[in-house]
Amino acid sequence: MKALPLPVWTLGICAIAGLVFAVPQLQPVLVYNREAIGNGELWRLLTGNLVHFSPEHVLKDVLALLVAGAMIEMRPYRHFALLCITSATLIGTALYAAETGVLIYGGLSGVAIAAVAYLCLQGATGRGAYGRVCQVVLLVLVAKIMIELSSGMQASAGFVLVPISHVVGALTALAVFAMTRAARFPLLPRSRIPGV
Amino acid sequence: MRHFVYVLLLCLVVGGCATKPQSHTATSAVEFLYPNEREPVVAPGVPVLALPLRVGIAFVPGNTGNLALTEKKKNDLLDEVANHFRKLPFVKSIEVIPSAYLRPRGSFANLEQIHTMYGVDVIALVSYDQAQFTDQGLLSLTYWTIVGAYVVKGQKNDTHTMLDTVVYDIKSRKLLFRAPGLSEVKARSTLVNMSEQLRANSEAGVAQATTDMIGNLDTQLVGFQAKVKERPEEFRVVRTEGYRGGGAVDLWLLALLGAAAGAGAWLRRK
Repeated sequence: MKALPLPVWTLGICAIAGLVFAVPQLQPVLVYNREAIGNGELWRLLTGNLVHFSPEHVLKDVLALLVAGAMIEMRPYRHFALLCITSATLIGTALYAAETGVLIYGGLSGVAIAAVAYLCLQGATGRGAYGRVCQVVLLVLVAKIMIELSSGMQASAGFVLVPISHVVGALTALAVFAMTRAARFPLLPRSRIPGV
Repeated sequence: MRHFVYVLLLCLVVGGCATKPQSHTATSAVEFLYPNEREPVVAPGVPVLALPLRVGIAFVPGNTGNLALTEKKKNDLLDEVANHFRKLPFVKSIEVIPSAYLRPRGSFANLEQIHTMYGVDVIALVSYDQAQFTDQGLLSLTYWTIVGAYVVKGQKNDTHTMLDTVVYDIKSRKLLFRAPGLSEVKARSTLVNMSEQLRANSEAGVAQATTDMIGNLDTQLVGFQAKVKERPEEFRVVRTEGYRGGGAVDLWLLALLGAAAGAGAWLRRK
């Protein structure tokens, strides 16, 4: 598949997250609000990921997604848009189902983790030094998520960190990766599979 | 002589049907909170509920008497109620306060100490009232045979239990809501087995009243949430940090990603 000249989806998502942060009036309408979701405002499951609570929060999340997303889109890895939309929706849904104590949630980190995991999963299947780098990053990412899970919710500046969002992001990446591999293997000859 | 026997038998039958309370054990939240006032007059402030709430739960201190409520059973019961609170989205933590930390007639001064020790804003105080009655039915006549006292269930035992949870905001001293739980256990026993049966009934009564109280807590909580929304002048709600969750990328991940991106670019150039 031909790589895009510009990482359109990445830039688009990061721009929207920046806009939502810059225009505070948008935040009450878009933020994950458990009570409002219970009252039928289901779009918040998806859009909650675009809301951030501090400049540092938005900067770190956007930067991580910008790097990982751009690398995915500039390489011939497909389904990045699907990955973003699915991970964002599943993070909101998982929070609603499992984290009843979290009434308000915001942050793009779950989607960023999904992008990093997807990038490394795709790269790790390849041979050579880059494949090994991806494998190492993947291992460190898994260890980091395990540590976060065992530490539970930790206080951060203005909110508590919710580890489940990272778990769901990583699992979504794994599912999308598995789907692309399953779809690709019977269709393409071995010589055309990237990294093989 | 015949008349004397008839009168004696009549006395036995009538006496056997008489009712007297075997035991009555109770603690009172009012007595604990307002110990030195005959007519408790309170002017509570406006409670400021900082969401998510830190809640404490404890038994009102007092003598348990014959009530089959040991310290372990009290803790189990409080844990059961606490687990129910834990599921609520606006509760951050719930602490089970051991009985030893509350003094009889300790009042709000004692609750302030609990607030300092455990950092709880709201406290749920559980009080109980249990009365047991034993009646002797006609079958108790068989006790005269001595064997009957061992094998015939002539004792009719009634156990009435009430558990009551009152939830107070410690700072404003305002009652937020209350939920009672009631139970009535009826059972028969032999004369010899009576004390064992009464103890079992006492335990069963407490267990049933707990289930009833938890059900009522649900109803009262829903009502309380509606009341908070409808009457903002009576309850102020503020949201604290723990109330809000976020997903954030940390510097470790950014560094890792940067290193991976750099390595990828360098390898490509090579």
